Amino acid sequence: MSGEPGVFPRCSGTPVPTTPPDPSGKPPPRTGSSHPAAPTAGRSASRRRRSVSCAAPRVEWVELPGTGTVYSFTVVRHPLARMLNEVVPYASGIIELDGTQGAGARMIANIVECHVDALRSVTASRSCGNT
Amino acid sequence: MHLYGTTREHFAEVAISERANAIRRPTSLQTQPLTRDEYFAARMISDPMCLFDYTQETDGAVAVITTSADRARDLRQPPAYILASAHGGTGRWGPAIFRYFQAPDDEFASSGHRPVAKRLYEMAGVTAADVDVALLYDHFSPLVIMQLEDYGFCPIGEGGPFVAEGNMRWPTGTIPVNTHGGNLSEAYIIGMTHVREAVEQIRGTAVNQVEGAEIALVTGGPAALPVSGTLLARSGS
Repeated sequence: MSGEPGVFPRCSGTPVPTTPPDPSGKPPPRTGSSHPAAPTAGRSASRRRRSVSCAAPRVEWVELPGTGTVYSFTVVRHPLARMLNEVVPYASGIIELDGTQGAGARMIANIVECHVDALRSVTASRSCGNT
Repeated sequence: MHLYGTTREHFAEVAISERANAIRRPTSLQTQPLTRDEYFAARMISDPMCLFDYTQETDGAVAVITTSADRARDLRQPPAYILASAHGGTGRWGPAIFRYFQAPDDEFASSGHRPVAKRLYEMAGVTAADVDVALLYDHFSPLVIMQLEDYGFCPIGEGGPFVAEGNMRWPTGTIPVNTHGGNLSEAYIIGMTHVREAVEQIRGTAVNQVEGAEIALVTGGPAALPVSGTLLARSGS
């Protein structure tokens, strides 16, 4: 996880070689799918059978480095269900994956091993534009 | 907030402004003003949104009678004419918050209503400047700010400062918003109170009446698409 306060996270990833799907049909870990004719417009972080940009049935698998930046996040402090009583506060975010060539392939994830108040201070500094 | 510098102060203005409208209504669940101190002292639900950025659970019902203009002419109540009505939304906005997180930045930080706004104004032959009162669906206070932008009451990204300057306040603002108190402070009847309030504004019978209101905007649900909007008018032509 990275992303400097005051700087909107952007992918600066370099192109990565594409890898074919596993013959068994099971995709390798940390892969995304993209439409071969529009690799930057249609790249998606999830395993899809169709292009997210044009619904074309042809997709190819690409390997990603497994790192990214926080695009947006929230710190949940209210337990929506009883089972979450011991879990709050927790941070959920949308992570923009490195290596997606500016297409901004994103996935939703819990942000762990990071103090939620530290995250909140990043939000505050972004919101104010500086400080 | 990341893109445009919108702050919690701006959210607070939405909540406080709607509360000020609500407490003048006998039907409102919220009967006391909301202060800035109370807003910022409220517990955080999901950062950066606190208790007062959310709706309240409410039981209630609203009925609306829709008929032809010919029939409406003879009825006991003066009609509110439907100038335009549209369903739709920004294509990738809905999925962007549930399973597909790749909407472009300016769509991501929007209410998803821009295509609906465009169609409404085209159908009615009016612009945002012609709208006298806006009943904007307010399940969460930030979405009010983004709808003010998407419906053209202020430029994109400037909704925060726009409300901070008092522009959504009744009766002094340039575009009074949720004069009934909205989902946030009157009651959460899933937007139907917005329709009722628009009709009352057009009839001139609203508790917080916008003087001389001719055109009212009602919106429904920044949510899973389609979202919707309607323009009601005092005059049927």
